[in-house]
Amino acid sequence: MTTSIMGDLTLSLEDRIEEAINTARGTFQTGRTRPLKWRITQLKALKTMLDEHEHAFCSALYRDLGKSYFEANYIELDNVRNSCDFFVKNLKKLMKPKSADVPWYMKSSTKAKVIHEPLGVVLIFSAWNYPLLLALDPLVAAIAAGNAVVVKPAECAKSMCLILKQLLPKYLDAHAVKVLEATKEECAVLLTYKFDKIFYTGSPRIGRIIMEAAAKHLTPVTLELGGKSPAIVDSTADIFTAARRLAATKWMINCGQTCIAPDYVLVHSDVTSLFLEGLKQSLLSFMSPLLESANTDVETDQETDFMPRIINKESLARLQTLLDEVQDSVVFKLGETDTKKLTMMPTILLNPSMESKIMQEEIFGPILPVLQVHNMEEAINFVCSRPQPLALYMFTSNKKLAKEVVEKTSSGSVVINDAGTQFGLESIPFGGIGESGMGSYHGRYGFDTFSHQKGVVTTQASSDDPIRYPPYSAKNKAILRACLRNKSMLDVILIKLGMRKF
Amino acid sequence: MSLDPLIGAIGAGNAAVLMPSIVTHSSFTVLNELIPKYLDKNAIKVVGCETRVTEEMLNLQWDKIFFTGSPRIAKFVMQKAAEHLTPVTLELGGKCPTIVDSSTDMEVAARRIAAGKWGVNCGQSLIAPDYVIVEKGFAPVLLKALKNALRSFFGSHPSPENPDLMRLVNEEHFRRVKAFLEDPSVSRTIKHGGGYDIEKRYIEPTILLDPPRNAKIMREEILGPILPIITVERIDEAIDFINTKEKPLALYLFTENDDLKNEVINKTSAGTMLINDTVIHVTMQELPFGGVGKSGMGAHHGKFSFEAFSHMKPVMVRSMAGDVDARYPPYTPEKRNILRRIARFQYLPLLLVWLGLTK
Repeated sequence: MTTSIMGDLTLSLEDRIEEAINTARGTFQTGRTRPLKWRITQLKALKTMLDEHEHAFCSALYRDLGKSYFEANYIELDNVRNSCDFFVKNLKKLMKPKSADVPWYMKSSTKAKVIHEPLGVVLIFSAWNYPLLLALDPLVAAIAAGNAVVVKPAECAKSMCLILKQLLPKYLDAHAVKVLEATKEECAVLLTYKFDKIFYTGSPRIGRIIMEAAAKHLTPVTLELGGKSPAIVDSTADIFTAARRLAATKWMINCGQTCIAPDYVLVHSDVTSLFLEGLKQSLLSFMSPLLESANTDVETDQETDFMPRIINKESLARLQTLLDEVQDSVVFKLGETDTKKLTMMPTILLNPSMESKIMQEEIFGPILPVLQVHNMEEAINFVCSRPQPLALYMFTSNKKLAKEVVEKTSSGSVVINDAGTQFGLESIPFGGIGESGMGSYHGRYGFDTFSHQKGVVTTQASSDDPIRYPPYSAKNKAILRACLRNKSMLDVILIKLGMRKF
Repeated sequence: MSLDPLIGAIGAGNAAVLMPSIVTHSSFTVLNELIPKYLDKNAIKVVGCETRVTEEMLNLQWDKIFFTGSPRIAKFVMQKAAEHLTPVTLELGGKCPTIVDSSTDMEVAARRIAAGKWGVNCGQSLIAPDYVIVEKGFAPVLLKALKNALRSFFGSHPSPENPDLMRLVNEEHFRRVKAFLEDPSVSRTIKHGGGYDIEKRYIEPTILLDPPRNAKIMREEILGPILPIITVERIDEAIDFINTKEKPLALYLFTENDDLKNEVINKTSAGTMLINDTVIHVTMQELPFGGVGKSGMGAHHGKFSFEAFSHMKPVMVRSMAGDVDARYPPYTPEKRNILRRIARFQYLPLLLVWLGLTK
């Protein structure tokens, strides 16, 4: 009785890890995860799980991060549903071998193709800021590619951890998809085990630790990290729309705790005042009902827009420390911080010191530094002198400038005249570069990430030309070299006839 | 192996530092002299690859590291790369197995295996057939065919003077390969060859029949001119045997049996698989050349090289016009409905909502 209730608590960490890995590996080795049918069944079951327990998942997100029912669905559940739909629709096509061309002298005897092979047992580390999305979105791609998976949910998001642990085994193949809880310290032990792929979403600091651990087993990794994603606003931009879109992405989604949130803005000095005004007006219009209800102490229910919280008091304290250092650059604050409710209100800074910590580390919160620049060259140089970010947002109506920014800067992705919209687009890879990560996923890029592309060459045994074997006469050597150098059939015939040299 | 990745790096628009192996001293000298003469010497640099220099180089920040070599050093390279979050492509080796099924034309198979093993660089190739697996009953036929192939390639008494036979690259590697044969449980399984010339760093083409499966030669990558033949009762046991080892860079299968072919493709994993031939995939620019598991990560050749040395950066261009209020809070029930429909690509329901025909 005790074992069935206490379950995990009676097993040591190593036992839990080994049980998860060995079960997943054993299942993978049976070949069960490879057929299209199994993969589609899992993806459909995942969607069913989200639909049948939508309320429970949204409640978990509300308890962990204060997300409204709407935001939980719109941002997290719906994106996972879309990923499932994408693969259900396209997986058959993705799994089809792709034919590859062969040199002309092999065409009559040889065929080549590339097939996508599952890697084996994949380890996925989720992140606390989107604890459902960042566990399940990679999981969908890993399953679509035919792997067995061990999912490590973000331990900070306790309610989501619990519900994933309870529900995933009920809906998915519980021997192929394992949920493994582990604290930060326990992860160090987890990383000593061999996986066939590790997918991590989180900070560059931990990304390094994970890659180093993966190196010991030569395990390939995809790291979705963060960084300071800049926005640049040029004087030719529609300032009000730019301000509104940036404000919405920064503050209205998870309180700025998003890897692709605009971290800071570089604004042309000609339009800075207008831009700041735009930000303030947008915030007031977005938040007015919330502010009213906050003032009247009326209980808001989960359905309505409730401003999401900071994940925990450590994070809030970190943000407060960052802010304290640059207090004199604060030009707008929508309200006071509530350390009990863990809420921090949208805050705008103007030209904080470059040496301040808030301009060095990823903010990951509702504070937006606005920096004035005299020209776009200054903005480009500023961005290029810093580590490559996960995203770059450029607001301009000058197409030439947009092209210049795309070519002269480097980032995971670029969005012109908007922010954050790249996430939901399955036709583009989502991933970073340099400090912001390596590898990518979404759509077929996710399928590729969790696959090994294996070349398969089939030749006929019957067509055996003695020319390819030693001893090599001078003429044969010439012919072989000509073939290898992709010379034409005519050239080779002429060499054979002794009418050309090589 | 120096210039091939360099071409990919240049093709993708990078600057590059090339560290050719100094084990092949003469090749290194030539590259070191000629590359600055022919290429943009401020963009392409050549540096010698001694251990001390390698470690110092790895302490620096690179935007990409491409490494060809052994798994042991690759682990070190990847660990150092992790410090800077530098992505890596690792082209490693492994024991490339060759399965020979009874349905195949043994003479052709033997020629192609012999060419892949001894015709190219004396077996010192990442994709050389490392060992062969064949059904017990057919081992004598295969052995005879291999001997015939060797005789036709190199004559009855192959010698180091033969221009089509190569030598081991240096003394260290010569000793390493020769040491495999010093194990008596291995040397007694020699069915062909076994001779060597220390001064010339030459080992003649050698074939073993059923050395002990736990001998060093069956645990480590051979990278030399010795070919073990392992026999099994039934050919499908070959799959289990291969799967007890690390995933290789290449797997070769000689068969006319489609069922066996599909089983091997689906139940084993390798960088590349060839059916009825060996090593020729290296010339195919349309195929990704790379390993999986301990045989490596990433690939190159052709467009795969271009991708290996590039970042695929998506650029999403949005119009400033048409900024719909529905997108922004406060989210009324109507707005929520519209946004959810958009998020889920439910265009027909969206139209109905917009027309007020449904909630």
